[in-house]
Amino acid sequence: MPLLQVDSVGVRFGGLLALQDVNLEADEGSITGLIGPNGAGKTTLFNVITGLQEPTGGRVTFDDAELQKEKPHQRARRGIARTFQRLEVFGSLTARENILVAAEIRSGWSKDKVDARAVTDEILDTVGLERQADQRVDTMPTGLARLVELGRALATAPRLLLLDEASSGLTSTETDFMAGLLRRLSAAGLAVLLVEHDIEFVMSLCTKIHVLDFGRLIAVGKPKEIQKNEAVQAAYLGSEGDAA
Amino acid sequence: MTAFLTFTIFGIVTGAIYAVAATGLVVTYSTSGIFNIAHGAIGMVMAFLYWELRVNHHWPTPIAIIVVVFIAAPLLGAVIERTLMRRLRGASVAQSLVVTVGLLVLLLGLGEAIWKPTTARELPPFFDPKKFKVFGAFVSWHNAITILVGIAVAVFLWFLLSRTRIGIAMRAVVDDRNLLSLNGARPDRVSMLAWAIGASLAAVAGILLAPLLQLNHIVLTLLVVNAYAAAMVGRLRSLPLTYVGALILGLAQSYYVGYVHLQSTWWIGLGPSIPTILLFAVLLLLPESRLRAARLAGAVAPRVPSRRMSATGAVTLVVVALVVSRFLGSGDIIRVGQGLAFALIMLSLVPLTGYGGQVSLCQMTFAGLGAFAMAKLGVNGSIVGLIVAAALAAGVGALIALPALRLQGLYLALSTMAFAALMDFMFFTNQHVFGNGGTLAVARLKIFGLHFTSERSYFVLLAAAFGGLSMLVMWMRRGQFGRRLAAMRDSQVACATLGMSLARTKLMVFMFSAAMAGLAGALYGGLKGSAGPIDFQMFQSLPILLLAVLGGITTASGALIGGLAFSFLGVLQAHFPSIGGLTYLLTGLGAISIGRNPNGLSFAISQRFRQLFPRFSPATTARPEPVFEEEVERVAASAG
Repeated sequence: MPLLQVDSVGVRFGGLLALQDVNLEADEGSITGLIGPNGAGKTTLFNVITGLQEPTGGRVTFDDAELQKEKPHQRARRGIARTFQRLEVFGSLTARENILVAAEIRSGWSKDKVDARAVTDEILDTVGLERQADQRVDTMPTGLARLVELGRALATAPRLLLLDEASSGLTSTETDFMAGLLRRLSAAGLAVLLVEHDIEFVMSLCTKIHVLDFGRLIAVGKPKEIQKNEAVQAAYLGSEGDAA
Repeated sequence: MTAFLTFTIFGIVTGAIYAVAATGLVVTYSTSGIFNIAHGAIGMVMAFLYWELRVNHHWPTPIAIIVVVFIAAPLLGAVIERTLMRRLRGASVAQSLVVTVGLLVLLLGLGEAIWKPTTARELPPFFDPKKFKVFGAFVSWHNAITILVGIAVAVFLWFLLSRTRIGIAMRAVVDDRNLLSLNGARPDRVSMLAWAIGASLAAVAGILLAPLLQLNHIVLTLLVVNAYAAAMVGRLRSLPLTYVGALILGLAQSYYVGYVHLQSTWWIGLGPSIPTILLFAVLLLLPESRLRAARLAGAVAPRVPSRRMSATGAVTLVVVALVVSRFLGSGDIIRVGQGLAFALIMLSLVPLTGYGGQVSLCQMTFAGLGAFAMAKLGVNGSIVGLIVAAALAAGVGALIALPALRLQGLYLALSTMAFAALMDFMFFTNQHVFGNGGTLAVARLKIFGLHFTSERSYFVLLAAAFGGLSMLVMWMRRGQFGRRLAAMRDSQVACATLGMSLARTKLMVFMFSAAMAGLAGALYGGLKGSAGPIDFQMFQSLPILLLAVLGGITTASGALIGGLAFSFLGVLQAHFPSIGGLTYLLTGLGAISIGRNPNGLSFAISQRFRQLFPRFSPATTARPEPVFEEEVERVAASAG
C-alpha cells in the first residue's frame, strides 16, 4: 500500500474541468514527479491533497485513512506538508521564526515531546540557512525564501512532502543544493511529491513521473519512459513550444 | 384576518426596502470585493438631501427624486469608487474595513454637521394621506409604491446583469479582473458603475424608509445591519436569495410587532434586534469558507520592541503621568484620563487587529460589559469587579466570535457590528440593566490597601494600567502565541497546512482582546464614576477602531496616540458646538487616508525619527511585492 493514494479525483471550476479522473501514488523513501504544461492542474491536485480544494469526485487516502472529510490542519497533523508555487512565507518573521512557528504548532498538538528550538536549529542547519537565520523573510531573495518554506514544512515532521515548483527562482548553485537535500530527505524515508518545470531537475531526481495535461493524466512511468512518450512530447510541444 | 393582512403587507413593505438596500450591497460587494459598511450612511445622507430639496426648498417630488436618486447618489458612489475603493485592490480585509468604516463615520459627521440632529425633521410619505383598500386592509400609496419599487429594482437588476454587455462584465469582474481586461472590458469602469448603482439603491432605500421610521442619522445609517443580514442569506452573492432574506426579515419584524407581546420589559429591545438574530442564525448554517492564498499589499509589520524597551516605555509613561498630573486642573485631568482610558480600549485592538489581522467593531460594547461588571461586583473598588469584567467580556466575546470563526475575516467584523447594535437595543438601553433612564455608580479600584479615590491617583493608576498592559501585549507578541498571530496575519493558508487550527487561534486572540477591553471599560467607568446607556454604544466603537488604526494599530504607542486624540476631539467638539459631528468628521477623514498609507501615524513618526537619528535603529523595510510569473494557468486552460 503506498503512503499516498489519489483515486480518480476530479475538480470542476464552473464549466472547466481542472482535474479529471486523476490517479496518483507516492511511496515512502522515494521522489515522485508531477509535471505538465501550465494550467494542467498540478497545483489544483496539491490543493486537493492538502484540503484547500474540495474535489468534485474521487478519493484521497493517506496512510490507509480517507481524507475527504478532514480540514487542512487535520491533514497536516497526519504528516502532510507542502510548499507553495507562489511563496506563502511569513514575511514579517525571520527565517528562524518561520521554522520555529511550525515546530511550535507541532509541539502544541503532538504527543511526542518536541523541543521546538532544538528542532529549529537542526532544520536551519539542514536547509543551510544558519547565516540568514535572523533575517526577515520579506527581505530575502526568492531562492532563500523557498528554502525557508521548505524548512518550515520540514519542521512539522512530515511523512509526505509536496513541493510546488521547488527550484523556480533558484540559482544553479541553489538548485544543486536543493537536489542534494531532497535526495537525503527521501533516503531518510520521506515521501516527496514534486511539481516542477525544470525537466532536467525532475528527470535526475524522480523514480517515477506523472504527466498531467488539461487536467488528465496522460502518462506515468520512469524518467526514461516519459522522455520517449509521444503523448508527453505532443503536450509540451503543442501548448508551449518548448519543454521549459 | 384583516389584522394579519395588514401586518403581512407592512412586512412586505419593510422587506422591499431591505431588499433594495441589500441588493445595493450585493452589487458593490460582488463587483469590487469590498463590503460597503457605509451603505446605510450613503442612504442617510441622500435621504436628508431629499428632505432638503423636497421639504425645505419645496421642490416638486419628481424633480427632487431625479436629482437625488439619479444624479447626486450615483455621482457620490462613483467618486467614492474612484478616490477610495480603487486604491484598496489587494488590500487586507482589515484595511478595506477601516476605510469603509471611515467613510461611514465621515458621512455621519457630514450629515450631522449639515443637518443638526437637534432639529426635528419629518419626511412625508408619498401621496400622504391617500390610501386604498385590499381585502379590507388599508394600504397607503407610499407603501404600495415601496412594493412596486422593490419589484422594479429586481427587474432592473435582472435585466442589467443578464441582458446587457456591461452587466455581464460586472459579473465577470470579480471572478477575474485581469482576464476580463484581456477580453476587452474595462474593469475600472465596471466597478465605478457598480458603486454608482449601489449608492442609488441606498438612496432609494433611505428615502422610502425615512417616512416609515424617522429621518434620523443613526437609524438610517444602521440600515446597513438589516441589509447585511438579508444579503447574508444569499451569501452576499445571490440576488434572489437576498430578496428572500429581506422578505423574511421584514415579515418577522412586522409579525413581531403585531403578535408578540412579551410581558416582561426585559425583552423590550428584541424587535430591533431581529436582524442580528437572523444574521447569527444564517452564519451558523453557512458552510466553512475556503481558504485562499491572498497577498497583502503595502502594510508594514513593525519591529517588536524588546522587553527592556517596553519596560522603559511603561515606566516613562507613569513618571510623565505623575509629573503632568501636578499641573493639570481637575477638569483637564479627567479629560486626559479619559484619553488614557480610551487608549486602554484601543490597546485591546493591538493583538487582535494589529497582530492577528482580525477586526472588531464592538470594543466599546465589551468595555460597557466591563463597566457593568465593575458596577455590580466591584463594590467599594473590589478587585473582584475588575476580574469579572475581563472574564465576562471574554466569555461574551467567545460566544459572538464562534459562529463567524469558520468564515473569512470580513464576517467576524460584521458580526461584531451586528452584535454591538443588538447590545445597544437589548442591554445598554434596558432599564433592568442601568436602571430606569439612570446610570450605575462605578467605584474606583482599591488594591493592596490603596484606594485610588482622588482624581490624581486614579489618573496615575490609568497610566500604570496602560503601561502594564502594553508590556503584557508586547511580551505576548514576542512569545509563541504572538508568533502564531503574526504568521496567521501573513498567510492563513500556510498556517492551516502547517497544522494550525485557525479557528482556535482566532478565538483565543478575540477573547484576549475582549477581556482587555472589558478591563479597560471597568477602569473607564471608575474614572467617570458611573456607567450609563449612551457611553458604550456601537457608534463609539467605530472611532475607537479608526483612531487606533490611525495612531498605528501594531504598537502600544499608536493606541496611546489614538486614545489621547479621541479625548482631544471631544474637547474640540465642546469648543465648536456649532459644527455637529466634528469628531466623526475628523476621524472619518483621517481613516479614509488609511487607503493611501495603511501604517498609521506612529509608524510615520518613528520613520521620521529614524531619518533624523539613523544610528538608533535599523530601518524597517517595507514589504516588497514579490515578483512571480503571472498566474496564467486558468487563461491557458480555458484557451484550450
